[in-house]
Amino acid sequence: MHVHHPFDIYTYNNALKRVPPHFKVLVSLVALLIVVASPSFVAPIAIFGLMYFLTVVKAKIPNKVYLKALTAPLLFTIPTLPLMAFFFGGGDVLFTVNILGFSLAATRDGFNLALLVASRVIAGSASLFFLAFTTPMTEIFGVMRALKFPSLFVEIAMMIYRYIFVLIEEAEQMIFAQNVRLGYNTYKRSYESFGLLVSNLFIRSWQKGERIFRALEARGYEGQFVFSDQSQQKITFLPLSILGAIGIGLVLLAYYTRGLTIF
Amino acid sequence: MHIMEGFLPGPWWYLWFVFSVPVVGYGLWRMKKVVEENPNVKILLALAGAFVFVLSSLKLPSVTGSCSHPTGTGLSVILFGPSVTALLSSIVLLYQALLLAHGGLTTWGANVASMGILGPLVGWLVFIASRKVNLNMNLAVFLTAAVADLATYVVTSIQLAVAFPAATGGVLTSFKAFFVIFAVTQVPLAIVEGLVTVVIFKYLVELRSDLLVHMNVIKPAEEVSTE
Repeated sequence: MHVHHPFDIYTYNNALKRVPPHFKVLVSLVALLIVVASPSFVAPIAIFGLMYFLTVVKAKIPNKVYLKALTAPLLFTIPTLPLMAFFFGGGDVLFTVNILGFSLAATRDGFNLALLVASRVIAGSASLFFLAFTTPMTEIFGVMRALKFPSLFVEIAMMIYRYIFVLIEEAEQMIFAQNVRLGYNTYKRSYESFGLLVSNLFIRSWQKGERIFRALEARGYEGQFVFSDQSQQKITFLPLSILGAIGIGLVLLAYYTRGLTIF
Repeated sequence: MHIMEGFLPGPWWYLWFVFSVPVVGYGLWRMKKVVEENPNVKILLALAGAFVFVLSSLKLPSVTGSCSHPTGTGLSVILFGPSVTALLSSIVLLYQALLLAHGGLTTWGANVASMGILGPLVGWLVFIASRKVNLNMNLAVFLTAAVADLATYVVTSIQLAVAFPAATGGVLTSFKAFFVIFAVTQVPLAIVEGLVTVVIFKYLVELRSDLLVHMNVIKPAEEVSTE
């Protein structure tokens, strides 16, 4: 029994921490758009290489942590790939296999589709990781406000972000307390323990909410938080033009390799 | 069930944004009204959102051995109703993408549609219906959580099928294929989440049934006195 830990900690001490958050969001979104629009696997693979370089070499995120994060998207993707290879393709039959009396034909189009989707998932995840590993959430809120997201949405998002860590700590304490009292030691009891943990966590959150509200009200809260943005760095011309050039290069790469396939 | 970053090509990823954004906007608008009358609701909802996130990052006691997490959508829709659940899920899914690498930014619209809107909505209808016919509370809660999970998984299969139709047989064949391949993990998961939600709900009723009455989840007559 354990809690999944957000990899948020790396955002506060990586080598690209000082790069303006607007720029990092822009890099990540441009990369994502090229990835999902790319008609062949070439541009996604180039983007994966670029994002890996930026995140692991430039931002100095440990390679092990990075690869571990990549397993989540791969676990989702791997079962779908044979499916695509065997069922979705038209075109020539590459080979057939017999499973339990059914003969399955792997087709050329199916294989190419599976390859394309796999490259997109890996490159897309890498583009997401670049943002997730280098940019603190608090700075992303600043970007959201600059992009005119509804203030209530940003405010709730910020509070949720804060309380996630409070509740994770509470949950870990409860799990520890349960474990020393032989919780989760049989299959049936693990259900009981889990139910007790989650219901208690809900009640605790609720009580915490009521207490926080009272504390805020005593300090003159009228339904609005007022925040100041500390990071007012401007994106300079040079990095922006480099991004533009690389972006255009990748779009051209995606365009000229549109017909390229392996099988 | 999260669709991973990069999995959906255009136009599907942005069509799901077009579907989800107005619904989340509606949830936001509803909440604004409530918050204007009652400012402390904002804080309670923020904690509810954090609760759903933490719930979904806990590991379930599981049979299959795979790493399965509850979605929390069934419990959330019983406690807060569908429009608030949609809003909270939209934020939670953003954090799951950015903090845990579950789901993604381009697939956010599709994931909100399945896990935040349609799945919980079906679960909520089941809950309302089973309360109407005076079904046993445990059974009602089990059905709500399990059906919300199953509906989410059906919607996800549809989303994948329309984006990747089979060459022969089209969307329907492809839907069947995705539906079968994910059934291996999703059906046991729905049952486990149903059972777990029953236990959670049982403790909630025992410990703080006054809260549930206050939130209009159970009727005052069902309140258990803890005195």
